[in-house]
Amino acid sequence: MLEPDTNRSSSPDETPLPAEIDEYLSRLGAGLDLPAHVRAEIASEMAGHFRDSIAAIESEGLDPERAAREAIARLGSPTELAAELTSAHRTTRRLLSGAAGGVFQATLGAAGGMLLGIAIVAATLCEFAVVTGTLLKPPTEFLFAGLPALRAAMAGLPMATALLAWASCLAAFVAARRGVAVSSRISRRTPAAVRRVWAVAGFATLFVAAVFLVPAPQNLVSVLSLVAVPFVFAAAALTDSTPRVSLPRRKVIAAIGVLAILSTSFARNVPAWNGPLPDVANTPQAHAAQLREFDRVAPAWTYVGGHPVLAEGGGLWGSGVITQTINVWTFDPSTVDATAQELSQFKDIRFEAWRAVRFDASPAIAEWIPDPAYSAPYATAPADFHAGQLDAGQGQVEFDVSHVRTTEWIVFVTGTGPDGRRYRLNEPEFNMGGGPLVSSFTGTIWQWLTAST
Amino acid sequence: MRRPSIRTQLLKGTTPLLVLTVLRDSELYGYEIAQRIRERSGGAFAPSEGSLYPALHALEAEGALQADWRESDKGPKRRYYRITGKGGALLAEHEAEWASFARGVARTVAGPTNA
Repeated sequence: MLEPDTNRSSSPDETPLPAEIDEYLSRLGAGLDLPAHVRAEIASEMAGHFRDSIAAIESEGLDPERAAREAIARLGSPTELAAELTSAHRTTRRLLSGAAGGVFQATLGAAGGMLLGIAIVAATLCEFAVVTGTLLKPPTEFLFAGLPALRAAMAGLPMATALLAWASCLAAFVAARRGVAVSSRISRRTPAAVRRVWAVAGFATLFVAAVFLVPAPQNLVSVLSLVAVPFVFAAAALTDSTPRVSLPRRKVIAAIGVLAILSTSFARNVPAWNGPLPDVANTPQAHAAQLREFDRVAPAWTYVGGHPVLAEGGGLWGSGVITQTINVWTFDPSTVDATAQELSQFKDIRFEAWRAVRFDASPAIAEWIPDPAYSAPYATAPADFHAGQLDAGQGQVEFDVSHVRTTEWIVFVTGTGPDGRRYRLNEPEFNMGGGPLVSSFTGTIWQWLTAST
Repeated sequence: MRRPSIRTQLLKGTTPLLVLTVLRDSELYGYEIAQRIRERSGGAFAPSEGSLYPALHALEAEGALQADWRESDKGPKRRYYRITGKGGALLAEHEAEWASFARGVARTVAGPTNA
C-alpha cells in the first residue's frame, strides 16, 4: 500500500478512509515509479482529495459507500493516474539537476570520506608502529612531524600509494552513497533506477583514472589497492543500504584501554626504539658465499689487498632512479695516484646495474646477490676514471629504472684488464649487513602491467 | 468508438492555463482548485480530477508552482499550491496564446465577413 507521508503530523480529524479508497491508493502507489518520499507525499495528497471529494458527494445525498465509488470514478484509473504523475515528476530539468546535485554531493562526500580514510589509516599505522616498532617512526615523532617532512618520507613509496588507495576506497563508498541518494531525490527517479547509472558511470570513470591516468609509485599491493577503488564505488552504488553497526560505548572504551595497555607494554621492548639491530649478516661464511655469486658478473680484480674501486652506499629510496657513490680506494690519500695508475691498465671501464635478489647464505643470514635469472646487467654506463667525473676520486652514477618493475639493485664497476678479460673492480659494500639499492616503479597501473620485470 | 467531445479535448489542453489562472488570486489545494474552476466557469466545466493532479505536479516540476503543506479551513493538512514568478510569466504566455487561438476559432466558425 502507498504509505502516507509520516513526516507530516496528521490532524486529529483525519478519519480512516473506506476500504475501496485504500485499495485505490495501494494500486496507485504500486504504479508510481518514484522515490519513497515522493510516493508518500502523493499518498497524503490523494487521501486528502478523497476526503474532500467524498464529503462533497455525500452532501449531495449519496450514501458513504456510493460516494466512495463516485469519488474513485471521478479520479479515474489508478494505473493511468500513476503513469501520468510519474511522467509529470520526471522532467529533464529535474534529471539534469539531479545529476549535477548528485555529482556535487558525491564530490563533497569523496572529500569527507578521503579525510576520514586518511585519519583511519594514519591511526592504524600509528598503532601498528607502536605495537611492532618496525614501521615508520615512533608515533610521537610521526604525529608531530611537519607535513612537508612527512610527505618527503612517504614520497615515492608504493606503500603510500596503497595507503591512499585504501583511504580512497572509503571516499568512493561515501561518494557513491551520497551521489545515489541526492540524485534520486532531486531527479525523482527511484534509487534502483539511479544506482545502475551511478555504478556504471562511476566504475568506468574511476577504473580509467586508476589504470590509465594516475601515475604513482606502484607495486603489486598498490595496484590491487587502486583497482579496488572502482569496485568499492560500484558495490556501494548498487547495494541497498548500509547495515548499522552499533557498539556499546563501554565496550569501545574498554577495547581502546586494552589496546593502549598492550601498546605501552610492547613499546618498551620494540627494537626500533632501542638502537639499530646488530649486524648479523657480516660473517666470513656469508661473505664468501656472496662473493662467489658476485663472480658471476665478472671475476674480481684485486690489488694491494683490496679492490681498486669502492662502491659506497647510495640509492634513492622510493625513486625511479638509483644512484651509487663510487670512490677510488682512498683509505690512504697517498694511494690515490697508485690507484689511478692501476686503473689505467683497464679499458672500457663501466658501471653495471644488476637486478638483485635475496640470497640466504644460512638460515639466519640474508644477503643480496645478482639475480641468477639474468645473465646480463639491466643497464650500463661508461666511466672514465682519468678524464671523467671520477678524477677527484669520487663520483656518482645514476640509472633510470623507473619503468621496470624490479626494485632491488646492485651496481658493479667492471673493466677490461691487461689480459683482455673483463674484471670486477668493486665489491658492493652495501651488502655487508645493509640492503640493496632500492628503487620504485612510478607510473600508471597500465604502465606497471606492461613494464618489463 | 465514441468520439471525445470538443470540451473534453479543450479541457485537457487548457488545464495548465485554468490552474494558473485560479491560483493567480489565492493559494489553493487540489480539490479547491477543481471547485474554483467549476465556480468561475459558472458550472459549465471543471477539469477532470484525474488530469488535474498530474498537471499540478508537472507545473511544480517546471517551477511554475510551489507547494507546501498547511492546515486547511476544514482542519486536516492539505497541499497548497501557489504561483511563482515563473508561473506568472507562463500564465501570461498561455493567456496570449489562448486569446489568439480563441479569436481564430471564433472567426473561423463565424464564416467569411463581408467587407
